[in-house]
Amino acid sequence: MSVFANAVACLLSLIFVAFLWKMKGMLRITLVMFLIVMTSCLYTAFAGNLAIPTLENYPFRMVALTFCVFTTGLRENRRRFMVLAQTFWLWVELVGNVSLYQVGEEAPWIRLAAIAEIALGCSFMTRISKEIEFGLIVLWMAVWMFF
Amino acid sequence: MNNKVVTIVFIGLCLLLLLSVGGSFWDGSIDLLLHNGGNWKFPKALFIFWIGMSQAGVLLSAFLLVMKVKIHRRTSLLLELGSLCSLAVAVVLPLLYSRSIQMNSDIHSDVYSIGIVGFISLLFFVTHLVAADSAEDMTLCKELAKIRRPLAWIILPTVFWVVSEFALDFACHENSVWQGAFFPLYVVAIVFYMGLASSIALLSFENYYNRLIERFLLLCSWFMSLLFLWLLLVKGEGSVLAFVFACAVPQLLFIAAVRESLWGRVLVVASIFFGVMLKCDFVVNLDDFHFFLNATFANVGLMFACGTLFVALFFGVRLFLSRFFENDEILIGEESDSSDGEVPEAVERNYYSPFSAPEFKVVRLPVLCGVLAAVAYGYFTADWVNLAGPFGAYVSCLLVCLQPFVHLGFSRKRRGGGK
Repeated sequence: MSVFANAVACLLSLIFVAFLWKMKGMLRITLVMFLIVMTSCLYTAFAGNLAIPTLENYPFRMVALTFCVFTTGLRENRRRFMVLAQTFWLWVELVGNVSLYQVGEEAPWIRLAAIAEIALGCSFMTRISKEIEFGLIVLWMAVWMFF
Repeated sequence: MNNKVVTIVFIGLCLLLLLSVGGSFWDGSIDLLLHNGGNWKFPKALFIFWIGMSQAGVLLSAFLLVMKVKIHRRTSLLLELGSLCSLAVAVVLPLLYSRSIQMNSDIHSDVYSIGIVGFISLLFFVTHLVAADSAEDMTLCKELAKIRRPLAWIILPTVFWVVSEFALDFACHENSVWQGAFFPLYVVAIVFYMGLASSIALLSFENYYNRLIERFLLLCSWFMSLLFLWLLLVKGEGSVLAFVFACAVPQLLFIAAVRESLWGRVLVVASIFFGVMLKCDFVVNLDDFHFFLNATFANVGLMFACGTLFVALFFGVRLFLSRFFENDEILIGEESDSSDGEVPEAVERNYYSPFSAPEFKVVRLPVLCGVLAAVAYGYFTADWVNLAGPFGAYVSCLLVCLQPFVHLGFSRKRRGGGK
């Protein structure tokens, strides 16, 4: 996917988060999540070439990024869910990379290492301030865009 | 437990099994059932289905516990028992049809991984059971309540690891069409969906009805529809019939008459399982109509034999352990708003500094030992991907389960010394 399309995907994820933050109740959040997955799939189908194997899990990576940013707005158990969301992202990337590696494709291992490091760093954090929240979002966006 | 419904289901399955075995004499497919020929692919599809079922219950139970979703302990026990019985059915299939389901060296690590998950599921289940039985010994109950969620924290990633690895290996060694970044995600999603469906069926047999799980099942059916369409877009292949049975039929739960009726719910769940089974058949044979075009009474007979074996095993164990499942004293505690079967803490703290939560204190040493064991295993066997993780989880779970007994032993010794 081109750099511009990748950037738009990142922007879309942030827009999804803005919607998610307004939702209350687990069922409503799940309903919105369904719409998010659908939009991500449609976006990937229209913006990218589905013959490229790396795009197979692209919508789910978008969803994982959305989860990660969403957790910064939580009031309770924020660190726990932040680490969980990043572990989900890590799992999507790891499984995808291993699978691609098996078919002889080049897998972006640096992205994997970066997500793992941020997740590890998050688990050491004490009370997370607004500045750290912002920093984390920027870090995740950087991982998404540049690795 | 609703004995009437269980009896009707069991007798119904037995009759259908008898009919299909009789039919297999009529269409001449009895040879497939009786002889381990090797050219019959259906046992492999069924094996994959039951392996999925064996992970589904424990995955959902651990997930709900980790997410702190308030559910009845009975639900967890049923899901875990369902997982163990499904694993037993899955083990029987390769024993009977070893030529159809070949356990070659490529998938040995998967078999061991699934065995490890089976063992830690058994530990998880026994922990729940002992806690339910020790209502009078509150010390043991409290100690076991402390390790329940930490165990779930270890089990959840292990099941994710094992299911993903199973999917990756299947794609790599069996059918290269499924190689790609999406297939493992899809398999884990289906396993989760099966867990939700089985919880609705098992609760129905207990005369319980969990509206929250039913709503999640509906929402999940939409997610599954999306994943199905995505698979169709990416691979150009997908089983439409499986979609109809597993994703379209569950929408009937929107109709109050279906939702409120026990048989309506059971039929919807049966449709989901049939859809997933069709999906397994499709994954093995890559033909949407393979199941129906090659339908023999032997296929149907084997399907009902597995179902009957599961029902017999499950409800046999359930009846044998009914005093644990129907422990009223524990149930009152479980239904409190504060927790899900947990012994309520005196003061609930909202914030813990990093690595200081009570759950972390329980798992830190066992997980450290588990990681070291996994590293040692990887170093000596050069197998870092397949078995290192499950082996580490196995060591961690064993050590976590030993903790309550060590604590109890020390506290009794201290009391003895005090006297």
